[in-house]
Amino acid sequence: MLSVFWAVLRRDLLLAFRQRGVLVHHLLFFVLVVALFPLGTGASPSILVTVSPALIWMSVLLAALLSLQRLFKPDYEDGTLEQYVLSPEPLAVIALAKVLAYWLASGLIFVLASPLLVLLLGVPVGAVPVIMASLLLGTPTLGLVGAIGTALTLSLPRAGLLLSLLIFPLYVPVLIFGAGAMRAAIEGLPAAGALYLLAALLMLGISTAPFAIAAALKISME
Amino acid sequence: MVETHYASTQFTIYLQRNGVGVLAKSAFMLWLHRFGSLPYFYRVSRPIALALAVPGVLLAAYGVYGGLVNAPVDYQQGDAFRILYIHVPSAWLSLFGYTSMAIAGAVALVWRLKLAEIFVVAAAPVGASFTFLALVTGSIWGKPMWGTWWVWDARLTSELILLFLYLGVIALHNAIESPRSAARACALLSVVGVINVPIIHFSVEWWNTLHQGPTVTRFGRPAMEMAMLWPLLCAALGFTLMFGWLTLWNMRVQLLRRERRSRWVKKVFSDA
Amino acid sequence: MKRPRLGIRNLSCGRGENALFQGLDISLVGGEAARVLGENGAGKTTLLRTLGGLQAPLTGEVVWESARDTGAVDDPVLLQDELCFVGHDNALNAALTPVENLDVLMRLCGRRVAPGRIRDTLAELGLKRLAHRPSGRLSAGQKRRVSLARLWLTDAPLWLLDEPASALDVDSRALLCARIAAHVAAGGIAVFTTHEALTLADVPVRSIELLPC
Repeated sequence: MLSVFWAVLRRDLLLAFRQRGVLVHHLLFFVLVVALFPLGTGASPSILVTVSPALIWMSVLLAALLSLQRLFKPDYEDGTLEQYVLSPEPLAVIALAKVLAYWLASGLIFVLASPLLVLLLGVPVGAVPVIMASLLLGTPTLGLVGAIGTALTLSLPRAGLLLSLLIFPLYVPVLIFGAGAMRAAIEGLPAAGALYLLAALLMLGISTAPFAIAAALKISME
Repeated sequence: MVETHYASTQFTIYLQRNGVGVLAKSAFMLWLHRFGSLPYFYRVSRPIALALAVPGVLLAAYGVYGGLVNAPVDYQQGDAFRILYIHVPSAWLSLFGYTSMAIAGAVALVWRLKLAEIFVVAAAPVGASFTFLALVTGSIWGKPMWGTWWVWDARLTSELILLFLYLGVIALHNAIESPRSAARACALLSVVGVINVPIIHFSVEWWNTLHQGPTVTRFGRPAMEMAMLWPLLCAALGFTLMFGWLTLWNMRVQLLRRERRSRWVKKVFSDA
Repeated sequence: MKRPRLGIRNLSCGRGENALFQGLDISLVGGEAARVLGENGAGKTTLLRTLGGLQAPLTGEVVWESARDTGAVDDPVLLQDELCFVGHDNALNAALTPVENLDVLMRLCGRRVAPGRIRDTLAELGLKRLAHRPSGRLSAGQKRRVSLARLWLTDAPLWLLDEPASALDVDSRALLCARIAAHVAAGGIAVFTTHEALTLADVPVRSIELLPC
């Protein structure tokens, strides 16, 4: 079971490395959304700091939506997904490996890039560790939940808008606790509560979402 | 025999595989097994739906009339509270509808019971309508109470997200061409959604306590008088029966659409 | 030695709600191959997918009796443990090399194969120079050969092959026929669909005819 997990993880990381241009696209998307925002609101520092939690988390949500559409699609198109389903190993393990590889190649990049962006928005340096922690705990949950939606819409040629309708309502708790932790950190209030709740969501996601992803993949394959 | 239907056949296979012969002999299982037969369901669902419709409409009418006309004026809210006789039953059905969809969805996924799949698909628009009604009445009630049509009150926000969950199920069903995979996808989505409903509600409550809006007025909640409570209970029960009626009727429509090529549907319409 | 058996009982399959074929009954034992016959759209691919457990039958069941233990089971997972499924699509990622692709595909079936053996097999199939090139740059026939290389690497007794010979040249087709015949002669089972003529020397080939219902 573990050997299949590693094999799929290694394969997808290798693919991410071969197609590293895509990683740069993820990063650029994140930077662009954040950079364009002040052009819309005006550059008043007080406004930017106030909206920064919403801005950072909404851009993460949008980036997740865009990148998740490709999570299973290439495997679906070239027949590899058939082989995943036919594997005697549990499909949930394979799904978990794929989501982990996806997160390492996208969510982790946001976590690492976030200090630079929040400082651009004028957020105090002291808040940066909490912001990174909230993204570190929140983005994997986005991947796990979003993978269920993308697996359900696999057989549709253009699922982008439908996917947003399916997964954004499910993203509400992560958005609330993630932005809540960030806001608390900016205002100098304790943020541990929100971070614990994000961690709880992540644990719930890791323990249940892979089974839902597996079921969704099987439905899409039938 | 084409009359032997997939759902019931697969149910039999399930029973054989799992060696629960004893369970299968219980009357309930036999009933379920028989009810799983689609032509049988189509036949009996019509009188059942009518049996739900008549008392449902009467009770709802009595409850709404009692609330709108007969109940005494509230000493704090004046006449504005009367819309609660529609709002509360709708809000209750929005939750009841989604929960029942998720339970049916779980049954559909585990036992591949076709009727359960159809229930998920059929209940979604009915539940979404009640959710929409709850939102509209809530916002109308909010106008005199809060001074604006919409406030980001925790319960209203949760209700709005619940509406999006319903719309997601409906949109997914419309998007997937094969009726079988569409129904199974909706079943899974409703199960995933129902796990999230309490989490969403909790998170919205948590968020709401952080950003308490200045316009929110909270009244003390004195115990309701019987004259006010009684019509509300009638309305809630009546609306619930109506939910059952509409869902059952929609199930019949969905069933015909899915089985239109099968011999029993052709027979039903050639006999008619 | 006990021979494996693939039992198909009263099988009806379909895409969506509509049955493509009904009431298929056949039993294959180790040492037999079967060719699925039927017009376009008769459900040949659907049958193979159902046998492999990719989709549920409308009615009936598929029973796998392993040579390893006693008793028949209709649990797809136990069948999948002894299955090599070559589908319509090649299951090759365009950005990975044939060696990398085959390594992952074999691990997915729970079989680890040394990279050296994968390279040797590819050489046997005339793909030596392409072993480390991205699969996306291969021609259709070359991709098919890479995908079929699994048949040389696996020890699974049950093979389900969907149009294995599509896009293959004459020499590769002969190699494929020899490989399938050797597998069946060694006590394996192969079920395949094909448009091209595949002659398997010295092994019984049964026909599964799918009639539209």
